[in-house]
Amino acid sequence: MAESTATVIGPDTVIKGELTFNSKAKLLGTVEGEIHAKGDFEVAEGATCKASIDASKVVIDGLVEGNVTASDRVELSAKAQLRGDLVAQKLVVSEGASFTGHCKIGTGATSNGTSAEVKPQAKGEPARATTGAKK
Amino acid sequence: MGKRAQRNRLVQCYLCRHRFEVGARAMTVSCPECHKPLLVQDVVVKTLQAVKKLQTCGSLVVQKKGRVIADLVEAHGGIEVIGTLHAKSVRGSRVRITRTANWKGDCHASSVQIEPGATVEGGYFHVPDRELGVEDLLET
Repeated sequence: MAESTATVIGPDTVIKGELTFNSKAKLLGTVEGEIHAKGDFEVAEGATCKASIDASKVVIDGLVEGNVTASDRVELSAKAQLRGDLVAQKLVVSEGASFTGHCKIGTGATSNGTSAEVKPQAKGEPARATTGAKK
Repeated sequence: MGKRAQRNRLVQCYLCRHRFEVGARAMTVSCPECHKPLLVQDVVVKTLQAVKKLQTCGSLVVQKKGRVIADLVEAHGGIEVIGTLHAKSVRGSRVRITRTANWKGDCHASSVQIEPGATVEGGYFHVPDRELGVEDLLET
């Protein structure tokens, strides 16, 4: 029963820097920087995350500006807003979600190379599309 | 007569973006603005379809054994991928990538739905893309 304890960052909290979680974590406030989680990481509705996220499972209901890497899966709910590149084994996107960025999904996506393969241009900014852009 | 008029549907030319009404069962029409021939029917791909452009004002369904390889895929009525879709650029209103789908390419859509198990190989996703201006077409 005690295994399911999650770290919750409250709605009126602003954290800047690098955060590491050894288990579940839920963000209700604002984080800027980097997030590493060994367990699940959830960005709740109304929360703002201007950080790169590295976790096993990422659930997004709020706003995320940064690259997301998940060894298992990423879930974007209908109210989710993601601006950044995404690498995961599985992706679930609900209709209505907002997503701008490169995307690499599949069993081989996280094993060979992580987000480096997607080549993001700048921190928190999704890489521009290069395919079909020649004129 | 009234019934027939109700069955008309609003489409947007994928070449000049002009909007006009067509009959519900129309398959091809000429755009009254740019006078170019347009495909307005729903397209179902069951086998390999290797083309430069696949554009329709209707919907596109890539079935389980279907495979689309194209430079540009555009379907204003929505896109459902159950099989394989490899394109440089895909534009549509509602895009649904099912669990068996294999997707490669950029995606510009008003909304996207991806089911767990789908394979997406490095595409640039821009959702919602308001420049397409097709999101309200489905509501009418």
